[in-house]
Amino acid sequence: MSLNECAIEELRPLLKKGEVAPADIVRDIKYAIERDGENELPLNAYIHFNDEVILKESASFADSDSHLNGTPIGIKDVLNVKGTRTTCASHILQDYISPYDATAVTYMRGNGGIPAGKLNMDEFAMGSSNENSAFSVVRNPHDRNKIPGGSSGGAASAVAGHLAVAALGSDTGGSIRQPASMCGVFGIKPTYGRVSRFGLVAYASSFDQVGPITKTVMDGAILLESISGYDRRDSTSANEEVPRYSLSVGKSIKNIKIGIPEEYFGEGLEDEVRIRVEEGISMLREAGADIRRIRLPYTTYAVATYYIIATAEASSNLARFDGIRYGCRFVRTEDLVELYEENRSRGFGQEVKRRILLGTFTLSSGYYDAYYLKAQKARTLIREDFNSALGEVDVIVTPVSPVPAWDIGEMIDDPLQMYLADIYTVPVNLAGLPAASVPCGKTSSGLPVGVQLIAGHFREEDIFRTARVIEEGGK
Amino acid sequence: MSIDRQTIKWVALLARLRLSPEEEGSMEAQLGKILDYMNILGELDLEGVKPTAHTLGFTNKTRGDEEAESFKVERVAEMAPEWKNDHVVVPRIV
Repeated sequence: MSLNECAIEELRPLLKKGEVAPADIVRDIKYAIERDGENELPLNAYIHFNDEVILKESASFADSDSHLNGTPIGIKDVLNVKGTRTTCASHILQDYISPYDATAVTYMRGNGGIPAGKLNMDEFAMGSSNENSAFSVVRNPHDRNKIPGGSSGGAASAVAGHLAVAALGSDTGGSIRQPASMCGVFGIKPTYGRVSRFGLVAYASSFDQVGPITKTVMDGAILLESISGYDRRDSTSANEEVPRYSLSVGKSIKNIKIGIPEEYFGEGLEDEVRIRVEEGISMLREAGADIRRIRLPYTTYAVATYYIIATAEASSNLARFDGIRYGCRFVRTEDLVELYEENRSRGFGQEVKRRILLGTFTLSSGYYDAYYLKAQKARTLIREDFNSALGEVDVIVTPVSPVPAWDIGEMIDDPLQMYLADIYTVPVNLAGLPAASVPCGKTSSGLPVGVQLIAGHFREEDIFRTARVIEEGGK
Repeated sequence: MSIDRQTIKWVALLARLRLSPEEEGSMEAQLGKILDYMNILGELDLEGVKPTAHTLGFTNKTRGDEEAESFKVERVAEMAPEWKNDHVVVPRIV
């Protein structure tokens, strides 16, 4: 087996004993990326993989006793890695070189992780299919004519296609969980505030979180404990102790209370997805969990609420890209407004423009109360829904996406239809809760299906031990 | 409530985006459809419901005003698309 096919937990003892060096893994990854590039339909998982820099860093890595032992980790191109390009898959940042590391990257390095390549994504993390990258559409390794999911599509595709050992992604409305589900790998969005957002290019600041996409549940735990923790440079960072998540993997779930919300199993859910998720629930029942029916009545309003708030925040966050202080300046003009307009119009893709316009509209004079304020109030109801459900149960189990991976190009002209496919993931971000996608079998046409596990604030441990049961049961 | 062409033009100006006539057309149709869908929130009784900006109830956090190193001027200059005499070059604004 090549080293790029290994999980973090498999590489650990080898790196520790010195039987494998970090540079060996980087070479195997590089070879796998090159081989994939020769494919008629390449995965296009990376925006860049500067092997010379990565090899140099891995060759000088000496701390094989550290938490990650020198494992190379792919980074979604929305996180700043010092000295490398951070493009956010956008033309407006195509030449931007990061002057600093994002805190998640700093913490990961401190724990012995080596940033290895920048992964493709939907432009500025806006999208559910990874068709919005300014550079290339990412493909699903299980069927190269299908989307890998988004926006962390490059991360999920790379991990599933063994072009990375593991990766860091980001999740604003499902961008870690949905591609993890569609590519058949594990992905967890931690509690809002668990991982610092410093150095993560902002899309919707009240939702954005960094998290791991990995081959196994244990890898997810190891990587999450390597990036979590308080950061004074993020004012929404939580000053809460970081548990050893890896210790909860394998713990019994006997008597753990699992809630099944009927609103997540209704109209629009494809049968094959529902069957796989129900099989996952049976595995939990057999392992001794106490399965209960619960209600989350405001679920219907989550997509509208999410897209109003997220686009409003995006329109404000993306105002900084003006072609003046950094990023690309495509034209020189004599007039300032013209300069902004020309650069932003050439620099942003259609989906980014659509969301900026939508957010600008809902925040504009006369419409604020009708849309933005209303959505913030609806957010309260959705949050309270979860609060009361999580008072009764420890973990909520749902599908991640109503459908498995769809054909590339299938929904690109119908943004609303694509937004509606986010129905099961966006409520979690509205409530700031942790949630994961764990693989749970495939459809008859061989497309992976993920099960979503949602827990209370800072209760990631409950997710890890529950996820392990499904991972084991699915083998 | 839908959105008309004039509003699209106005919002594009506010957002500092220049749209081609084709883009205006497609945005009008797509945003109209999305906004129509968003009116679903009108079904909710939101009387007396407080808005949520952040779910964990954080309040403003402050820290000591401590001196720390900033980026060197040369590093900032490298990032700017145009730079002259230690300043970012912009079009004339006054």
